[in-house]
Amino acid sequence: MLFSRQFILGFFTELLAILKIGKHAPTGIDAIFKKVLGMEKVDAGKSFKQMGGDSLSYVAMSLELEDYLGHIPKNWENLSVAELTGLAEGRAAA
Amino acid sequence: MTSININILLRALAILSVVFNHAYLDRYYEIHHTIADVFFGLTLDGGAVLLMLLSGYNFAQFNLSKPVASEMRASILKLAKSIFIPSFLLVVFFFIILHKFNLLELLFVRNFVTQERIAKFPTWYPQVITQILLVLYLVLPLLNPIKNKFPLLFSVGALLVSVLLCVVPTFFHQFSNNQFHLPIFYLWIFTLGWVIYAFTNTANNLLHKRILASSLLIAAAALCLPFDKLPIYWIILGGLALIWLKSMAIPAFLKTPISIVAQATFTLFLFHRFAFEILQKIIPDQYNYLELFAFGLFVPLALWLVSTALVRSYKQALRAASRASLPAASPAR
Repeated sequence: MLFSRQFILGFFTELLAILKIGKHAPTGIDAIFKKVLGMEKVDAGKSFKQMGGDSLSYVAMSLELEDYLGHIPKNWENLSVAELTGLAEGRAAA
Repeated sequence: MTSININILLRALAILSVVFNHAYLDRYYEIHHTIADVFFGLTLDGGAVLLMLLSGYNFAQFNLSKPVASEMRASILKLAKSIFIPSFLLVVFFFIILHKFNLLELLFVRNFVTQERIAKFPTWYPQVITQILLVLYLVLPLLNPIKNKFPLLFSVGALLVSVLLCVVPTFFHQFSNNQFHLPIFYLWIFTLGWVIYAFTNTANNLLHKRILASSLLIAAAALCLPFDKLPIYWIILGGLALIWLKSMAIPAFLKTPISIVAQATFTLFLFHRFAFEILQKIIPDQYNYLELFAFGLFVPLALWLVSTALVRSYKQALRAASRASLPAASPAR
C-alpha cells in the first residue's frame, strides 16, 4: 500500500492541501474530524475534546474549521460534530 | 487583510523568536563574539516562556476542564507521552550519533543540576514540562471536586501557590544561573495560563474579569521575572493579547505561513538546532545569522510537512482499504 499510486497521489494532495495550494474543499465536518484526529469513525454526538482532541491537534483543527465555516465558532472544542454540522448547514442556507 | 486566531499567532511568534534567538545568539555570538550590530545588542529572548504560558492555557482548555478525575488523569498522561516520547527518542538519537551518554539527561532530570546537555535541542523545556505534568497527574485528581465547584478561585489559588513556590526559595538560597531551569520557576507561568483561560471562558465574560486577569498577570510576572530582561515583556504582552483579543488582523498572504509555523511548533522546537548543525557541516562558518535562522526554520518545517502529509495520506489509504474490503466481507457472513 505504501508505494501504491493511490498512496503517492494522496501524499501530494495532502501536501498541497497543507500548503493551501490549489482548491481543496473539505467534504464536511465529519471529514475534518477524521482527517485531523486520524479516526476511522466519528461520533456525531461527541465534541473535539470528547474524542481526544488536545493542544497538539487544536491548531490544525481550528484552522480546518475556520477554512470550512469561514470563522471559528466560540467554544467550538465543546460543540458536538452534529452541532458544528448544523452551523455549517445554517451558513450554507444563508 | 484577514484575521488570525490570537493563540495561533502567539504560538508562531514565540517559536520564531526561539529559533531566531538561538540562531544568532548561540552561533553568531560564538563566532563573532559580539551581538552589538544586531538590534542594537538586544536579543529576542523569551519566546520559550510565552510557549509555556500557551501550554498552560491549552492545558486548562483540554485537560483541566475535564470534570471526571480519571478522564483528566488519562488526558494528562496522553499529553505527557506526546511530549516525552519524541523528546526522549531524540535524546537517545543524539547519544548514539555523538557517542556520548548522560544518565540524568536520559532520565529527564538534568535540568536540576546544570544547563549543559548532549542533545542538540533545548532539553530543559520538555524536561520541565514533563516534571510539571507528572506532579499535576498526582495532585490534580485530589483537588478535582474543588476545581469543578470553584474553577475561577481554583485557578487563582494555583497561581498564588506557584508564585510562592517561585519567589520564596530565592529568600533562602542564591540560585545560580545553571540551576535556573527548575520546574518551580516555571510552574507559575503554566498556572497563569489556567487563570487566563478561566477568566476569559466563563458564561459571563465580563469586563471586570478581564481586568482582574490582566492585574494578576502583571503582578505575577513582576514578582517572578526581572524587568531588565525580555521574558517579562513576552509574558505580559502575550498574556494581555490572550485576555483581550480573540483574533488579530494580518496581511492575507501571511496567514498560511503563520498557520504552518504554529502547527509545526513542536517539530521546530525539537529540530532547529539539529538544522544548525547540518548547515555547519555543509558550509562551516560560511553563513550569517539570518541564513542560519532561515535554514533552522526550513529543515524542521520541511520535516513536519512531509511527515504530516505522510501520516494523513497513510491513514486515508487505510480507511479506503477498509471500506473497499467491506463489500467483499459481507457476503461471506
